[in-house]
Parts: sequence; structure tokens; C-alpha cells
Amino acid sequence: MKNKSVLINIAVLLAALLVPVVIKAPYHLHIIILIIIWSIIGTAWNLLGGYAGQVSFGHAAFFGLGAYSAGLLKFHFDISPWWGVLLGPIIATLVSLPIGLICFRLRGPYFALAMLSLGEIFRLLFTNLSNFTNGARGVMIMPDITSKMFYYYISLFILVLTLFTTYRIVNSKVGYYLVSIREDQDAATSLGIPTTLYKNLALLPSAFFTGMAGAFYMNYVAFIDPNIVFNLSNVSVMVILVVMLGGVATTWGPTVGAAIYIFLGELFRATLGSANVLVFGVLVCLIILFLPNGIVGEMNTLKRLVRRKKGLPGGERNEFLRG
Amino acid sequence: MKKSGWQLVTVLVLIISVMLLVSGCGGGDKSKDDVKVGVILPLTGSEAMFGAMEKNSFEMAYDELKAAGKTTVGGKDIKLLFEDDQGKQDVAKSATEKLVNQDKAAMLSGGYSSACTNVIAGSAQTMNIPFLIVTGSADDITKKGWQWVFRGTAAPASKYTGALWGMLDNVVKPKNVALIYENTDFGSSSAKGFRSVCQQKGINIVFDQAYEAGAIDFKPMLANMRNANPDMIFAVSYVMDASMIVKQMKELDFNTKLLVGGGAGYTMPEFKDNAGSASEYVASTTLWVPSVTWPGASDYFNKYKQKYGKEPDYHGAQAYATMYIIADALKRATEFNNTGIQKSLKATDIMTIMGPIKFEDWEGYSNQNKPVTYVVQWQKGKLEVIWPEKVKSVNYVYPVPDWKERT
Repeated sequence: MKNKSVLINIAVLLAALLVPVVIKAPYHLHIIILIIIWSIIGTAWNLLGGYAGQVSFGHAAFFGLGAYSAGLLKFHFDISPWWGVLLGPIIATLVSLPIGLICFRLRGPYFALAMLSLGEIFRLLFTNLSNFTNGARGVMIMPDITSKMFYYYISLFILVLTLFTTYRIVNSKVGYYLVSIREDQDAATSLGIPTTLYKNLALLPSAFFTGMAGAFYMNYVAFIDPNIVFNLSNVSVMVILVVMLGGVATTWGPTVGAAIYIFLGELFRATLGSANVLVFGVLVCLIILFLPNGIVGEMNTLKRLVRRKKGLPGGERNEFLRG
Repeated sequence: MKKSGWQLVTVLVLIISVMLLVSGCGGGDKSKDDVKVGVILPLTGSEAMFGAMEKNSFEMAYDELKAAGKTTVGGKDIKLLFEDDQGKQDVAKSATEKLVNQDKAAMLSGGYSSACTNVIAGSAQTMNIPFLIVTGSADDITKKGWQWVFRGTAAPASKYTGALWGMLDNVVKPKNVALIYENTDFGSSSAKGFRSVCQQKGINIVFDQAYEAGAIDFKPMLANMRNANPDMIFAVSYVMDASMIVKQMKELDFNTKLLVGGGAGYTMPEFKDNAGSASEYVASTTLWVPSVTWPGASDYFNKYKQKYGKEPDYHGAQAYATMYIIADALKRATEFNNTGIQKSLKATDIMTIMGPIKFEDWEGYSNQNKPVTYVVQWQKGKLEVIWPEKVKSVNYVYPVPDWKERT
């Protein structure tokens, strides 16, 4: 079984590497790059929100910090914004550290609320510190590289790195600790798991990769302003939707979710005219209603439905660890 | 591990199906006989109201041109392709990519919000495709020396106030002014422009504050402003904030000799509807009013109102005029490729309902029309031109009566 899985992994990677060879149209590559950016953010969010069960409504804070790290390097110091891809995640991680240390001592919705306000705080801060951030007028760079293929491979590399790291964390001792914290924090504590520490161990990589995605976004889209990258609904909530759609606490869920979300969103936008957002919204509602564990999460149910024509309702919804 | 295998198979199937789907339809459009003009506007989302108005105006102008036989240039038909940017910048980038690479648009137009316009302009510049901006007014866009980006009907935000200064010099002569603006690209660009001219003219800014667009309670800010005792207020806001501000000024009985809005919200029909009697005597700078003397302006206003049952404002006029600029440029173009259209746009010299349009390089701007601006004032529920004096439709009311003296 393990060999088979490795083989499929390699097949997926090869297929992904061949994408730009088959798809040459820059528009299609652009959509795929957007999918990959959202996959990275989704996968990073999933580590914290899915496996450790600490729902964050403020990943825009990390995303925006990453993006601004890259943008401001160019804006103030005329240093290539690509260095932001290294600096951005570090800054995002440093910011996440005190938040985790403070909020993870508490239970319940405090972390979610703190993150919600963190995103908004950074949005206001970056809007008003106009000497440093150029305020609402945003930061614009002129990218040196225009080849979509280049951006594709860079983003793919970041995604593979994120997936690999997450996979390793989840399938290590840390991963089991995280799931046990999610399922029952009291039980986890009584078994001697230092819960605050391990929740932080999920937050740090999550912030790190979100920041990296943000820095890449700056390089790729070339213009940011505080309302775009620190946006509550278009970043923080969107990443939750992406993960919910694909499957919470699954390795490939966020990637599948991002692919469907971005692809359908663009397809509807290009074909349905003004009704596109409505149709898209209804579809997302339907998927969440009928596949509450996301597409990857309900894979077993779907499979069984296809095989035996009679599914076990809600089959293994409480299973211990997916992936 | 079994489950993980299935997940992977899903991903694999997904990748392959996307590849097949995409490469199947990747051939692009077959109809090579059209000159395609891509127009990117916010047709859904919070800016949809303006996007729809601009789209309608584009179509209205197109129909008129078609009736006059002007949509066929060099044996090819001009075809408009509308794309929705949802007011989001990454969607604007997707739309740009699609129009240029899939639909093979010869040139681009549109651009409503500053953020989306920035992204479209950046992409157009890198892909060497002419882009004619309709509304996006952030200063920087035409200050980067981008030879593919043209701005005709829209003024840079800091130049919205052109006509106001004449009026301030001759009529208001303020010593102390208050400045409030929404914390957006447009708001802060306008405020920056206003501040620098005040400095040149030696006018004191006694109150200078940005506020969060979409705020509800302006009373603390207004109370502080009253303490600063300004002769005049300059405010840059969109329509809801604008109505809130004047209504709350009335509630606070905060009297000032003149409140001037910096375009945007203060000129719209919705401003009058929401603010009611508080809108009376509020002045604003603007780029266009229906009563302006440029040929066709009032015809456009009446025709639009008749056709769509709504009053258009300057956004619609911008789109309408832009369509005429596009048709004119394409008519003169010798080749319908990017350089041909760019050359032809650069040579534009046309009279529109927004006034004469030329793409010039001045004060660090490139391919930027020199805008004509007006000061307007709400009088008896109608928006009237009060400055410049030679085009005014009524006399200005200054200083405006106190709230208590009004009946």
C-alpha cells in the first residue's frame, strides 16, 4: 500500500511538472497559478484550523505581512521583491509568535477572535502608516519576469514544500498531539501533552507558509494595497471556504478546494455575466450542505455510493486522523 | 494509506481533466475579422452600480456609432467584450489575461477602482497592449511613463479640484480650511493634491483627518472640526459617507460658510436622496454635469434617462465619451495591432461630451488629458454649475445660510 501511494505521489508531481508544457496559454496558466497560491494558503491554514482545531479568522494578517515585506523591500530599498519570499514568512512567523503565546493559554473562541482582530488591526495600521506603507495608495512594482512558466514553477515549488512540511508534521508525533488537542483538550492535558506549546507548533508553520504565499502574490500580481491583502472576506474567510470545500484535515483537501473554487469562479465569471457570483454562492452552499466534510473528506462516502449504490450516511465522520 | 491514495487519484484526475479541458479550447477565437476592444468593469460586487452605468453608456454610444456606420473600420467590425472584475484586483488580472491572450483583444478599456486600474495598467504595460482608462483616477497610474496606458476622460485625483481654486481665490478667500477624506487611494490622492496647493497659496489647514470609508458615526470628528473653526470644509467621500456627514452636520448644528466635496459622492443623485434637505447648498468639484455646454452632453443625459430610467452621473459620461474616443482612434489607425492603435490613440484630438480630449505629457504625467473641472452646488434639489463663471448655470450661494435660518 505504501509503495502504491508513493508511486501516485510521483505521478501527481510529474503531471504537475508537465502542466506548462501542455498548457501554453498564459491565461490558463494564470488561473492555475492563482489556484496554487490558494492551495498554499489553504494547506497552511489547514494545519492550524483543520488538524489542531484552532480556527483562524485572520490569516489575512500573515498573508498581507508577507506581501508587504516583498513590496516594501522594493519600495523603500530598491531590493528585489523576490527576497520578500524569504523575509515575508519570517516576519509573519515573528508576528504569530506573541499571538500564539498569549491566546493559546485560553480556550474557546479567544484565538479565533484575536485573529479576527489581528487581521483588521494590520489593515488599519497599514492604511494609516502612510509614510512607511504608502497607505491606501498601495505598493506597485514592475515585475522583471513576465513568463508565466517561471511563476508557475516557483509557486509549485512553494506548494510542494508546504504540502511536504504539513504532511511530515501531521504524520509525526506532533500531528497526533494536535489531533488529540482538537478532539479533547482535557484528555490531552491529562496525558501530559503541553497543549499551549503544541498549538504554537501548528501556528508557526501555518503563519510561515501563508506569509510566503503573500510574498509570492506580491511578486506575481505586482500591486497590493491594505484593503486587498488584509481583506477579511476576500482572504481570511475565503481561505476557510477553500478548505471547507476541499476537506478539513485532509492532506489534499485544500488543493482540491482551491482548484474547484478558483476554476469554477473564473468559469462562471467568464460565462454567466452578472449572475456569476450568485450562482457560485449557491453552488458553494450546496457542496457544504451535502458534503459537510468537503470533497476529499467525503471521498469514502462518495466511493461507497458509487460502488454499492447505498452509502453509509455520515460514515466515518469522527475518524481519528485523516490523511 | 489507502485513503491517501484515493485523495491523490482525485488530484491526478483533476489535473488531467483541467489540462484536457483547457488545451481543447485553447485555440482562441476563430473570428479574426473583428477588432476586439476589451472593457473591464465591476459588474458585480459593491461597485456594480457604477460598473453597470458605465457598461450601459458604452453600449449606448456603441449603438449610436453603429447607426452612423462608424463601428466598421477598415472593413472590420469593432466588437466590445465586457469582463467583470468584481471590484477585486486579482480578478481584474484574470480578466486582463483572458482578454489579451484568449480573446486576442486589440486594446483594453475600463478600469473603475484605483486598485483594479493599477493592476490592469501594469499588465497592459507588460503585455504591450494599449489601455484607455475610463474612471480610475489614482495619480500614479499616468505618472510612471507607461507608453501603453492612456487616460482621457478621467483626471488624476489631485487635479479634480482645478476649478475650485479659481473660486477660492475670487470668492471664498479662506484663511483656515478643514480637510477630511476617506482612507482610500482616491481619497488620499485628492487630499495630497489639496494640501500642496493650500501650502502654495498660504491657506492654513486647521483640521486634517482621514476616516475609514463606510463609517457610520462622524460626530466625534465633526465636533473636533467645529472646535478648529474652519472657514471652509473640503471633504472627499463616496455617496453614503457623504450623506452621513452632511446629515450629522445638520444634527450637530455645525455651520460653516461652505462645504465643498471633492467629486465622487457629493454630486450623485443618491447623495441628494439620502441626505435630503441637508444636501442643500453643498458644493462639489466635478468633471461633468449634464448642463455643461459641450456638444451632446445634455442629449446623452436625456437619452440615458429615457432608456434606462435612471439619471447618469459623470461616470456614465466618462464611459460614453471613451467609446467615442475608441471609435475615433480605431478609425484613424492604419494597422489594428498594438503599435498601430497606440500611435493612433496618441494622436487623438477629439471633442466629446467630456470636453476636448488629447493625450499629452505634462507635469510628470504621460498620455494624460488635461481635465476640465467645475464647481457645482445643490440648489433647490438640483445640481447647478456655479464656477467657472463663464459656464455657470446659476449664481453661487456663499456664504451658505445657517441651518437654523433655513425653512
